[in-house]
Amino acid sequence: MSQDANAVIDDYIQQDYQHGFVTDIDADTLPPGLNEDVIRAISAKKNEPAFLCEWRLQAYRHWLTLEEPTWAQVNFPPIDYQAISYYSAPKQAANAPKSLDEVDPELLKTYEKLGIPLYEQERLAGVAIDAVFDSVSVATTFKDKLAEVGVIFCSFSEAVQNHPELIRQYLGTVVPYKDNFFAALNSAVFTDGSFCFIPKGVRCPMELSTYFRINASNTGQFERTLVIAEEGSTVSYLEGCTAPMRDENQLHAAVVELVALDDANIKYSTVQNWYPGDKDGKGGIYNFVTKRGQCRGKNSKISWTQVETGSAITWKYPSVILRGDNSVGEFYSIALTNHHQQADTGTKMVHIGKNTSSTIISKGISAGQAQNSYRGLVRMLPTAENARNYSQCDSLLMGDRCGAHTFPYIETKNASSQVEHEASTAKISEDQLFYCQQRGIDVEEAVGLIVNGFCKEVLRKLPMEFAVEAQKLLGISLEGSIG
Amino acid sequence: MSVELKNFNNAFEQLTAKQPSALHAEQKAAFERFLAIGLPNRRVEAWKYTDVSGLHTQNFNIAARAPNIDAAKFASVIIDKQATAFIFIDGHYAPAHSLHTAARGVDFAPLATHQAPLQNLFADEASNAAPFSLLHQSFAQDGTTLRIAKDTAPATPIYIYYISTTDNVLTAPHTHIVIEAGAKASIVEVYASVDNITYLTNANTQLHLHENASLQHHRLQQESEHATHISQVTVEQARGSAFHNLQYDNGSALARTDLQVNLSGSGAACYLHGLYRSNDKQHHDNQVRVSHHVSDCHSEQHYKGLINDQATAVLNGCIHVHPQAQKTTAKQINNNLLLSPRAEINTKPQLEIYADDVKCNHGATVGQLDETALFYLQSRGLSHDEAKGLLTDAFAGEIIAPIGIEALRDYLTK
Repeated sequence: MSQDANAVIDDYIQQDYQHGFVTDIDADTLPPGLNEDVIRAISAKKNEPAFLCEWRLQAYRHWLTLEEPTWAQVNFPPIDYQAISYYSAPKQAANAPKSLDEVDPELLKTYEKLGIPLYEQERLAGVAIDAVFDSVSVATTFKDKLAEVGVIFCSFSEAVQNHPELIRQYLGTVVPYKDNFFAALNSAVFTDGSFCFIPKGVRCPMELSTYFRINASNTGQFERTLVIAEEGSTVSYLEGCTAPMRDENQLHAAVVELVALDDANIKYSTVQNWYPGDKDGKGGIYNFVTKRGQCRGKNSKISWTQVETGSAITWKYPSVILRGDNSVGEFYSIALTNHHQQADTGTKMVHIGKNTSSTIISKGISAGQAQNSYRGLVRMLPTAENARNYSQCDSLLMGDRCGAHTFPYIETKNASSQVEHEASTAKISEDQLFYCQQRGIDVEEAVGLIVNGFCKEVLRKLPMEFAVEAQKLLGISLEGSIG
Repeated sequence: MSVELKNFNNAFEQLTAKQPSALHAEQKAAFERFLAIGLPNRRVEAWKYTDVSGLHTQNFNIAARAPNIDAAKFASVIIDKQATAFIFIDGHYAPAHSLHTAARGVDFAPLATHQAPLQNLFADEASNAAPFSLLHQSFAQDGTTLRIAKDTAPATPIYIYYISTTDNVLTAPHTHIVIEAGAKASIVEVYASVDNITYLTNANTQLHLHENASLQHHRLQQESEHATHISQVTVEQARGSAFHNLQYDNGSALARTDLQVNLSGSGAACYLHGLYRSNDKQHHDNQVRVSHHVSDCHSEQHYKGLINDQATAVLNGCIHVHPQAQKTTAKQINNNLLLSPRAEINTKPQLEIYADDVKCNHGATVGQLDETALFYLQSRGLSHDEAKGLLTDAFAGEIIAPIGIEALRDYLTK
């Protein structure tokens, strides 16, 4: 590769995180540590019904029997779960703001710095935002508009207060607390998150969006999201996040559950740009997330789209359980790792129903000393007649100290099913760069072009409202350094 | 020692009783380690899909020497009666049945005639932690040591047969082959049995290709349908060497082969082909791992599977590219046909890449016979079974047709 191109890639590799800052707000925080009393305290603070408190305690007792998993292709120092504070709420939350005017101006400033001012968002093309600042929702918009069609979109704690029957019916049915180590931990200590319920036959009139921020020092963030789409309903859900810079590693173990009944359609998009640590690998968020959707009904569809550019360590496998006949699962992913970032991400498609089909498109970009792994499972059960899967996972390598790995598990127990998997790993070819330069495109722009082209299949799957944000985030990583 | 390993312990006591003088301290040490580790279970990632717990309830015996047996009994497994053949029966070299044509450059000796302990060949840590490698080191009595001299090229292929003839026999045949610089050879390793007996073969093959050496290697696993076959194959390739391999699985109730190729000299290339034809309740597991240690190497893996009845097949193909191994090109393809509703395939085409200037591709498919093609053939007067046979043969043909030995090709297509 030419000297120029090396310089460009070096620039890119050395680029610092551009969204780092800490907002100074008083937080109502529990002391670090985890035991049954802490869980009871969280439950009491949130004024939860008894069944939920009991469920948390069961999860905690189960968590105690588990060991932290080690199979992922990632390295990090052991986490001291007793050194984490499990509850932190901005004080304002106690007397919840009725409108944006009542929201702490510090918070609004934070959002402005991120380029997502709520005022503008409100006026813009119908995007409702349930902004999560640390662990408690502080501002919700467009609730009235949504209420007109019967859509419930609120913070998880509000849903616990106002719709406990729905929570009781659906919570933990897709990701049971026994599922894995981090899901159990989340079930025990989750503080807030988003809840979304689309009633029968309703096409949600706007894209639903949540912005996550991690704020107070040393606070693990345990979000819980539950999306339920009843028969014949359609919803597009967006989730995006940036976080302030700090030195200590922060644990983030979220759980997302999606339920799609007959003919329902859920599209779940994520842009994740948490603090990845500095260029020496110091600091950064640990992102250990369990995301799973269940296509319970016939002809239902769940689609995951993710753009992962942040976090020191990402450990995330958005999955779809295809239980209903003719149901469809999709997974479109871009994972970009740089410096010392590590990502072990992919998906699981479990085919149970007849004529189910799934598509997996995964693009991994690895630069600096980063390690990027795709880990996927496609399982065809004996009942999944005529099931179909197509998977493609490509990796792009930049720099000779990074790694790209692929672990696709394919388990087929059905002779009428068809599975195709293909993958490739390569670096940006000198020929491509030379060709662009020949045509008058400088190296920087050329690398950008090639990377964008590489990701195009996934980028175009993002909803319009989100595309701007996604391109901006990818842009921040790429522009000025790589194109 | 757990109670479960009593059967192996009994067999080892037989070994000690029958040839106390021939046992090395290293052999005993290996067995001690095996007892400490025990058989792998399905919670171990590498054994996720293969359950060997059935071995706990079998009884095993050791053959002290090759039994007298009429050559007609195993005539059907001999592929080419005119070619050089080294035949081992129940784990021991049987010179009376073998045919050594003494071609120039071919230096063969049965392992039992060597003085140095076999365990010296297992220097690396990995093989001293793997249960079946330790089991092999404990029970290995005999096997092949073969050296093809520098710059020679024997005109005809060399056949090595490991044949089991006794119920419950445990054999650990060892094959150690060195292809010296610039030499060229074609070798066929056959694992087979007489009658439908139950036994365990725990084989280990080590191949060393020196600079610019070339080896066409074929492994036929045609054990009895009640047998268990577990083998490890390790290949070391020096600069400019070329290794062609065929792994053919048709026999055994349960078969597992771990193939590890180390590309340790630049310009080395390996071409690994495999075909598993799994029927009834057979279980065929192939673990293929190619390690690119240095730059400018090339590797190809192409495995195909025909899985019928209630059979299960497992394939884990891995390309591991080390940080120094720039300019690597690697390919990996796995195609499977599921021919019955209860057949099962678990495949994992895996890439682990730590260098950036590489080109690696892999692909895997699982499907069934094309309905239109079946219909077409039937409309031309073929029965359903004939049409199915023709299409599956064509599928297998991609692996069998390129075989360079005519006798072997005919044997596999008949």
